[in-house]
Amino acid sequence: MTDTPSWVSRAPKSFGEASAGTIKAAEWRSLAMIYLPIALTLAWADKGTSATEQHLKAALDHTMTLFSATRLACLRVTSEERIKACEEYFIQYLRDLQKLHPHINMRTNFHMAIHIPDFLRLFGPVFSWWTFPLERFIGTLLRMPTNDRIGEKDISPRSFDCLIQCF
Amino acid sequence: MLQSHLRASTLRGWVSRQDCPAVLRELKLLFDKSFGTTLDNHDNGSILVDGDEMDWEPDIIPDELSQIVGQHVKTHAHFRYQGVVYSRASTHRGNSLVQYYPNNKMASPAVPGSIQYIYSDKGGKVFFAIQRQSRLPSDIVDPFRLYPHIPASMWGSQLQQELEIVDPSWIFSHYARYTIDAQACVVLSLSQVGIEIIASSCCTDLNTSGEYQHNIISVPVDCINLLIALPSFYPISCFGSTLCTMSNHANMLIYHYQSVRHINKPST
Repeated sequence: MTDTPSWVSRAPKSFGEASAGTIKAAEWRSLAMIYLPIALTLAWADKGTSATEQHLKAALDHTMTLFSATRLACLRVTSEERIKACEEYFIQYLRDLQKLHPHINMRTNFHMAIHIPDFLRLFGPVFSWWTFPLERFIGTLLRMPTNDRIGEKDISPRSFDCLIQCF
Repeated sequence: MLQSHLRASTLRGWVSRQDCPAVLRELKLLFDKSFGTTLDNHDNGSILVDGDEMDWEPDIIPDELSQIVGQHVKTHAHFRYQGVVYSRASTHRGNSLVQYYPNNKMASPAVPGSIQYIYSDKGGKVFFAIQRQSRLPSDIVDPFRLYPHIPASMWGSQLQQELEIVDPSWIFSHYARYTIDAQACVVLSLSQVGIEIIASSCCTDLNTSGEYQHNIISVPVDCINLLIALPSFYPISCFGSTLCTMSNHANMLIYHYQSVRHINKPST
């Protein structure tokens, strides 16, 4: 088990199984930043020379490229060097994706990821413009009790709770 | 709902700004106290010793601690510093794992360790007694060395016996630890700023005592305690001139920077 401070969000226990449900953005983040780099490196690195093990090592290097890019993109202080490194990691990840996993189709998300370094240059560290506040708002909305009637006023005391949660 | 969320967010941004009227900031403090949200301690360089945040215990000082600091101290289970909660290992192992600058030297790299005791002296000043993570046995290869931008490395899983007394302002960040076996564990830094920036750009700007530069604007709130702790004679080292682009938190962060200069104005 990984010891983490209490401010780190936990990874879902049954990650990879259907019972884990939808993985939330914050959970993906702690998975990519903490749990998966440790777990995958220990499982796949430097185990042997057979074809399978070599393939796993290549897959590890490839996945760590994505984790490195994610980490560089999420840091609260950025610099031109960091943005360039992040850009190179993203491009390297996409280039090797077709070689290692030819069955994966290119998606719009991949293209959008390439633009993240541009946004870092324009707006500064992602901390000031990422959508976690809105994700939290969606979570609040999902937890709100409703009467399933659209257009009528909701006067439940939870509305005030929601306002407090925004703080 | 969306509108109230947006209004609350805008209000929150406003009360965090320097040009917000003092009366509103006072109200925010009351609001936080009433509704139990996280206290924003960023603008306070001093250590908060709050009765609600510290569990006082009888004065039974463990032998290993009293040998170093004597009997006239109080131990605590938790301590909140600059908005971050630290705990001793017997209370919450994860919150006790910290990277810190040993021997009060910023020039030396931060080392991982586990807080064993939190104590305050007669004056109420709080210190941590930390056991350092032991070095990795030389026959074990660190697989994380291949990934320079993943801040993980292997260390020995045992803690050193020696207790080191560390001021909270010398803490660099928390870290995550995964113990593999009796010999090795993985240490992963949870710093959200990265060590090279703290050791370079901030120091450079603080020591030149010249014009205020744009590259300091995006320094985030959570490395302010390190800036305060910087000795004014710290050697100047520059790692790059174009560090940060301006973010929309600029005003807030300028304020923090200026307050740092006020507290620890370089003598040269």
